[in-house]
Amino acid sequence: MSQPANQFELSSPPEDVISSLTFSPNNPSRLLVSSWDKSAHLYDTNAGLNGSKLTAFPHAASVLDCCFGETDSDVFSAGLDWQVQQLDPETGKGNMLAIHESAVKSICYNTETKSLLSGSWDQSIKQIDPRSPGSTSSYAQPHKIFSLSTISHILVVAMSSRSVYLYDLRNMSSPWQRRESSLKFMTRTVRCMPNAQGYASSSIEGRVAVEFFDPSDESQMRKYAFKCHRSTEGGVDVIYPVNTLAFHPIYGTFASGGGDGVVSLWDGMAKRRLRQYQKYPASIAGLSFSNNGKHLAIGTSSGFEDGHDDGACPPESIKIFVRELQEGEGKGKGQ
Amino acid sequence: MADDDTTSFDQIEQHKENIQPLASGRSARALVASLSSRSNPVFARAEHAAKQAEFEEELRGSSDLDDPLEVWVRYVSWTQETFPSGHSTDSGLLQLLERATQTFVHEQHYKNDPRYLRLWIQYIQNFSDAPREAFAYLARHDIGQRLALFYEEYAALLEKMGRKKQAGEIYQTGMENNARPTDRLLRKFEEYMQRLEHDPPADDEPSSPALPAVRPALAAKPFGGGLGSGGLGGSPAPQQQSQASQPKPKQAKQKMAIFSDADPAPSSKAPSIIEKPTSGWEDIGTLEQRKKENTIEARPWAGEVLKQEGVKTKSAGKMMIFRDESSLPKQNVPSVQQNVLSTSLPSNKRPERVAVNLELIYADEENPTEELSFDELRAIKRGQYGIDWNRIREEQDEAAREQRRKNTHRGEVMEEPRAPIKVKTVLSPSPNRGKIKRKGQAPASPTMTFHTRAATDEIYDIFNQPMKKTSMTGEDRDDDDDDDDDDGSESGGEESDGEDYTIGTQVGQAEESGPEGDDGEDDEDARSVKSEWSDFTLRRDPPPHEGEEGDEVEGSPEVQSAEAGFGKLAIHRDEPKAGNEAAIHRDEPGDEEPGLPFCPAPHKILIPSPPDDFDPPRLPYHAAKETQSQGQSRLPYMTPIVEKTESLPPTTARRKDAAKTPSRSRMSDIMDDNLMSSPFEELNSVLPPPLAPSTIPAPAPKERKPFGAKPVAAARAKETAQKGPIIQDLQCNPMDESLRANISDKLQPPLKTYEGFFEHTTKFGRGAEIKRFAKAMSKRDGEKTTYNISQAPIVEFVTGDGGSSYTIKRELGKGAFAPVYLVENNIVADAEDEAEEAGSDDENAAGLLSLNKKIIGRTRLEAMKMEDPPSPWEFYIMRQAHRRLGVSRPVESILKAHEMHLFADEGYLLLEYRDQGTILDLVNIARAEVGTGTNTGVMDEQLVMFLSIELLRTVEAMHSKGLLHGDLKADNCLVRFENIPENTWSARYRRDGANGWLEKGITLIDFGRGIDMKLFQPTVQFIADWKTDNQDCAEMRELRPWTYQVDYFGLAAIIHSMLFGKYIETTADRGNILGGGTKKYKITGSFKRYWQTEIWSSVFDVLLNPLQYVKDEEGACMPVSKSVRNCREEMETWLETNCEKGVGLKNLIRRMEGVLGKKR
Repeated sequence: MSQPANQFELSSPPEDVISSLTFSPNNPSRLLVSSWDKSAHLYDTNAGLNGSKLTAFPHAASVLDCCFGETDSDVFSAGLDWQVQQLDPETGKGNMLAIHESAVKSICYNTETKSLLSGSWDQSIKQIDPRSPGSTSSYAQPHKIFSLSTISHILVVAMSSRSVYLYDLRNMSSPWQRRESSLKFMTRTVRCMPNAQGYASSSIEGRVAVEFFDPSDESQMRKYAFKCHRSTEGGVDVIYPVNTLAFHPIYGTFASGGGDGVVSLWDGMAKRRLRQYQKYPASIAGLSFSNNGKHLAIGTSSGFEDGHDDGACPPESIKIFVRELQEGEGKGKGQ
Repeated sequence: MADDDTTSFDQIEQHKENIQPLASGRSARALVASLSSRSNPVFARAEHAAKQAEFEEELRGSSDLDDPLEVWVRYVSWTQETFPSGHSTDSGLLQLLERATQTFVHEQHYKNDPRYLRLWIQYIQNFSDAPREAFAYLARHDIGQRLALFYEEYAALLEKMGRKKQAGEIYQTGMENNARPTDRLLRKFEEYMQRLEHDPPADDEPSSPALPAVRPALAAKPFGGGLGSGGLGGSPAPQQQSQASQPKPKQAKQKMAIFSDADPAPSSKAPSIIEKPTSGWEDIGTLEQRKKENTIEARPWAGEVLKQEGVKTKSAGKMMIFRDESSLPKQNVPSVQQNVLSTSLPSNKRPERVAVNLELIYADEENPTEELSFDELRAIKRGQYGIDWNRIREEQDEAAREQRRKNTHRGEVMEEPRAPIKVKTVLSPSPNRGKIKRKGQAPASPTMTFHTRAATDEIYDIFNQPMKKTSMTGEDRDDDDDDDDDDGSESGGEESDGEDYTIGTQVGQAEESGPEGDDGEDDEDARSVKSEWSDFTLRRDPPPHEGEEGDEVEGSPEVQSAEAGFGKLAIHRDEPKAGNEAAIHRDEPGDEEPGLPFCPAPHKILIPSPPDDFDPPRLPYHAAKETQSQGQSRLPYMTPIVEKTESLPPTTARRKDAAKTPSRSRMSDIMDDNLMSSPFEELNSVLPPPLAPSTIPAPAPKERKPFGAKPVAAARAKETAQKGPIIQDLQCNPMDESLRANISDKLQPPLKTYEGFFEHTTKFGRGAEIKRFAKAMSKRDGEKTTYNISQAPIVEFVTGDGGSSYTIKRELGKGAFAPVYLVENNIVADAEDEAEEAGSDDENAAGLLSLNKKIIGRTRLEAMKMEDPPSPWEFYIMRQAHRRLGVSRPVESILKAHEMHLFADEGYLLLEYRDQGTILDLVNIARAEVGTGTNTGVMDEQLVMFLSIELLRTVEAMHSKGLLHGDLKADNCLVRFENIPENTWSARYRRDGANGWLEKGITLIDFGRGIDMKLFQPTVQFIADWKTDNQDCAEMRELRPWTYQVDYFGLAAIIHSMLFGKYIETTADRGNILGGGTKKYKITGSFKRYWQTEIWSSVFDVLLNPLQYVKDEEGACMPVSKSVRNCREEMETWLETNCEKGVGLKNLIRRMEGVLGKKR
C-alpha cells in the first residue's frame, strides 16, 4: 500500500497483536502501545523520519491496555498477568499497583480524582491511587469488564452481557446509572466525549451508539446508534466489529476503527460522517488522537477482529500508522 | 325413535354441547327429531330447505294476513327447533331474526306486542354485538315500552354489566310507564333492591343515565330540556311522542348522536313519525352491516398467496434464511470463513453476515449472554487463559527467595528482586511457533513456561520413593550438581537462552540413553519434549530490547531464577517419562540443599537442531484429547502438569500390565496410581500401600502443587462438631446463593475435608463440549454405532490421589442448571475388564479388584450431574443425610454422592446410578395403560400405599435429622426395586423390611434445594422469593414463611399424582369459623369410594395442614413427625393385611419392574 503523503508508518512496531494505543495527553509525540508481545512500547512519533521507540516495558504476559497518568513519566499498563503496573519510562521497569483475580482488560486514568481505574474479567473494577497503591478500593460488577472510559468525574464501565454502568467517581459505592447497551451485540469499546456530555460505544456487529450521561428523558431522547464498518463482498454485506473509538480532543468528533481496516471520522452531534480513510491492510486495533488534535495514530493487526477464526495474526499486519490531519480535518459540521 | 312416546335421551346426550339453550326450554322430542335427522344430512338438508321455502312463500303473502307477525314467530320457532345448535349457514337464524325484527319496527300496533319484543330480545341476547345500543334503539322506536319484559331484560343486562344504578333507573322508568304486568315488574324491582343491599354498587361504576342524555349539548337542544335528566330519556311515554317536534335543522348532528352509545332522548323522538328521516336512528343495522369494516370480501382461493408478514416477495430470492454458511464460496469472502448469519432480520436489503465468528463469541449455547471478547478468545487460543497468576507469582517469589538465600550463602550482595521475573519475552510465541501450533501441537503447551522450585519439590516428593534404581547413570547427576553451582555465577544474559534450552534437551537425551528400555509411548514423549525445546532455540532472534534486558540483569538473581524456571519447566515436561523422573530422583538425594532443585548445566554439544519444518510428535495424551474435542479452540486449557499427574511413575506391576494389555496402558496407569496413592490409604491408615514402600508423600506439600487439585485432607481429621447455627437470620431465603456461600465457608468441619470432595482452583471448561455431545447423542439416538462411542468425551478429574476418569454415555435428565449424564466409571470399568481378562482362575485378578479401594462401592455406570454455576451444596446435603442417618433403613432411600469436583466454572457431582426410572414414570406407565383391561389409568392403590409409606418414612427420618429435601416431586423419586431372588421375597408385606421388602422402595434424588435446619436458628422461617406455581406449597404461594411445609406439600403432591394420575390442586377452606379461622387446605379431587378414603384423607390433611398438627408434637413445633408417623403406621397396618388381595402387591411391583426394565 502506498503511503499517502500525510501519513507514515512507525518504525519497529510491536511483534504481536496490538491491544491498544494512546497518545500522551501532554505531549503530542508520545505514543504508548500495548501488545500481545508481552510488552508495552513507548514511541516518540516525532523522532527521525518514522519515529522511534523510546522504551519497551516487558511484562509477564500479554498487555491488554495502557494509559498515561498525570505526566509523561506516569505510564500504566495492565494485562493477562492480572496486574496493573506503573511503568517507569526511564528504566523500563514496572511497579505493581494492584492485582486482580483475572486478566485486566482495560485501564484509564482520571485526572479529576487523580486515580487510575482498572477493569478486569474477574468482574470487578479497582480504583487505584498511583501515589499510594495501598489505598486501592475494589468494586464488584455483575459481568466481565470489557472497556472503561472516564471523563470529568464520570466512569463508564462496559461489560459483557451488554451491560453498561455509569459511576460517579466521587461516590463509587453504587453505580450512578445502570444501563443496557443500545446495541444488540457484545460491546467492544466505550469512549467518553471530551465535553463530558456522553459517550460512544461500539459493538462487534458494525454499530456505534452515541449516548448521553444526563438521565433526563430529554437527553435520553437524543441517543442514537448507527451502522458502520460494513462492506459488500460477493453480494453479502459483511459486518465487521468496531474495535476502537477515539474522540478528537478539540473538535469532539470521533474516529472509529473496524475489523474491515477502515477508519472513519464522525460528527456525533450532526450525525454525519466526515471522512473515511483509505482502507488499511488489516483490522484496526487502536486509534488515538494526539493532544493537539493534529495526529491520529492507527494501530492495525489481524485476528478475530477481522474474521480470522483462529485469531492468527501475520506479523506483516502489525503496524502503527501516524496520520497527520489537515487543517480542519476532523472538524465537525458547523464548527 | 321419536315415534315412541318415550324419548331417547341417548341421542341428546351425545349432542348436548351443541344444543343452544333457550330461555323457554326445548322439547326433548323435537330435539331428538332434529338430531336424529342428522344421521342423513343430505336428506335432512333438502327437507329443511323445502320447509324454509314454504315459510318464505308464506311470508311473501303475509302482508295480507291479519297477523303477519304470527308467521314470523312460527318461522323462528321452527328454525330454533330444527337447528338446535343455533345460528348456522343452514339455519340462517340470525338473518331471520334480523328480517323479522326490522319488518315491524315501524308497525305501530306491534310495538307493544310481547311476541315482537321477544323476537327482539332473542336477537339481542344471541347475536347483538352491542346489546345496550339495541335496547336504546328499541326505546327510541318505542318498542315494548309498555311491556315489563323490556325493562326487566334491559335492567338485567345492565346489572350484569355492573351498571347497577342504571339498572335501577330502568326499573323506575318501567314503573313510571306502567309497563305490564306491573306486579311482575315491581317484584323484579324488589328483588333487585335486595341484591343491591347485599352488594351495593361500586362508587366508580358509570353513573350516567341508562340510556339518555349524557351529552346535553346534543340532547337538550333540539328536544327541549325537560327530559334530559330522566332515565331512559325521560321515559318514552307515548304522551310525549307528540312532542317530538322540529329536529330538522340539526339533522346531521343528530345522526352523529344516534351512533354514539349514550345517545340521549330517544324517547323525545317521535317514533310515530317513522317515515321521516329526521326520526334519526332509522335502522340499527344488521350485524353484517355493523361489522362491514371487519369483513373481508370473499374471493376465490385460486391463485391467492398467503402473505407473510414483513417479507416482500421481491426479495425472496435473496433471502438468506436457509443459506448454509459453510457452503459460501470462499473466494467471495477471503478473510471470513464460516460466520453466522446473525442479523437475519427479514428485509429487502442485501443479506448480511457478521465477519467474526459469533459461535466463538457466544460459545456457551446454554448461556447466550456469556460472551467471550476477542481478547479472551485470543488468550484461550494461546493457552494463556485461566492461568492462576497469583500462584505463579507466589512460587516465583519463593523461588527468588531461595535463590537469594543461596546467593547470600556465597556472600554475594543481593538486590531485592521484584515480584515477577521478566523472562516472558524469551518465550513469547513467535510466528514460527504459531505455524507449528497449527500443525496440531496442543495449544496448552506454551502455558507451561513457569514452574518453580516449590513445584518441583512437590514432584520430587511424589516421585521420590519408587524405582530409584531405574534409569540414569551417576555421571549425569554429578554433572547436574556441578553445573548447578557454576550456573549462578557464570551465566550471562546472552548465553542464558541457549543454556536454558539445553537443559530440557539434555534431560530428554539422557532419558533416551538411559539403560532402562522404555516402552514406545515414553519414547515418544521424550522426543516431543526435545523438539519443543529445540523449537525455542531455533527462533532465537530476540528483539533489541530483549538483549538490553539481558545485559541489564546479567548476573542478577533474576537470571538465576529464570533459569531455575526453565529447569523446572523441563522437568514438568518430562514428567510422564519414567526415565526422567527417575533422573530427578537420582538428583535429589545428592543435593545438599533439599529445598533446592537442581539447576542443570548447559550441555551444548547435545543441542539437536531439527529442521525448520520439524513437526513435533504429539504426546499421546494430546492426541487422545484432540480426538475427543471437536472444536480445538474450545479445548480446555488444562495445564500439562494436571494431565501428567495421572501417569505416575511406572512400577513393575504396571509394566507387566502394560505388556499384557497394551491398549489399555494408560488406564492401567491410573489403576496403579490409585494403588499407590489413594486417599483411602491415608484415610484408613491401616496398611501401607503394597507397592509404595516407606515414604508416603506428606499431604502438606501436595497441597501446594501448582496446577493440580487440592487433595482432600483425609477425613480422619477429627470432626469438630457444628457449634450452633451459622445463619442467625430469623427469616431468609434458604436458596440464596450468598447465604449458601456463607454457609459453605463456615462449615465445620469444612467441606474439603469430606471424602470425595475435590476443590479445583482451575477452570474446567468442558461443559459446552459435553452438552454438545449429549445433544448429538440424543439426535442420533437409536443409531448405535461405535463411531459415537469413540467420540464420547472422557472427563478426567485430577486429584491428589491419581484422579478419576469417566466416559460420558448419554444424557439422563436435564435441569435448568444441571444436566445429568450417564457416565462410565473408567476405573471400575477397567478393573472389571481386567479381572475378566485375567480369567477366573487368576486369583490375583480378583484380589486386585477387591484390593483397589478406589472402586469399592462404585459401579461401572454412574450418574454425573454437571452444575453450572458450580455449587457444593447438593453434595453437602447428601453427605449430611448419609452421615446423620448413619446405617438405617431410610438411608437406603437417599442417593449416594460419590465424588464432587468443584471447579471455578463448573461442578461435577458423581452419583449413584439407578436405571429404573422415577415415580413419575410409574404414574405415566399407569396412564398409558388406561383402557387396557381393567386398568383405570392410575396406579393401583396397594402400590401407591407402598410407595407412600416409603416416602413418608424417608422424609420423616430426614426431618428428624434436621434436613429438608426442598424439592420433592414425582420426578425426584427414583424407583428402587432391587433385583432379588424370588425365594427371598415374600408376597406378604412386612413393615420392618424383612423378607426382601428392604430391597424395594424409592430413592430420593436432587438435593440441590436441600436445607440443613441445623445451620439455622430453631425458630427460623423461610421465604421463597422465586415465582411459585401450583406445585409449590401453599405458604410459598401466599408468601407466608415456611419450613418443613415444603416437604410435606411435596409429599402430598407425589402421593396425589400417584393416586389420581394428575398434578395436585388444592383449595383453601375457611370452614365455618368466621374470621381468624385458619385455612384448611384440601385437595380438589375426590377419592374413589373403594379406596381407603379415611387413610388418604388423613394423610393429605396432615401433609397439607401440618401447622394444625403441631400441637401434638413434642415442644409443639415442626416437624410434625408424630402425626406423619401415625399416618404411615396406619398405612402399614392396612398394607400388611391387604397386600395379598387382588393381584397382590408383590405382583404389582414385579410387573412394574418388568415395564421399567423394558423401557430402558
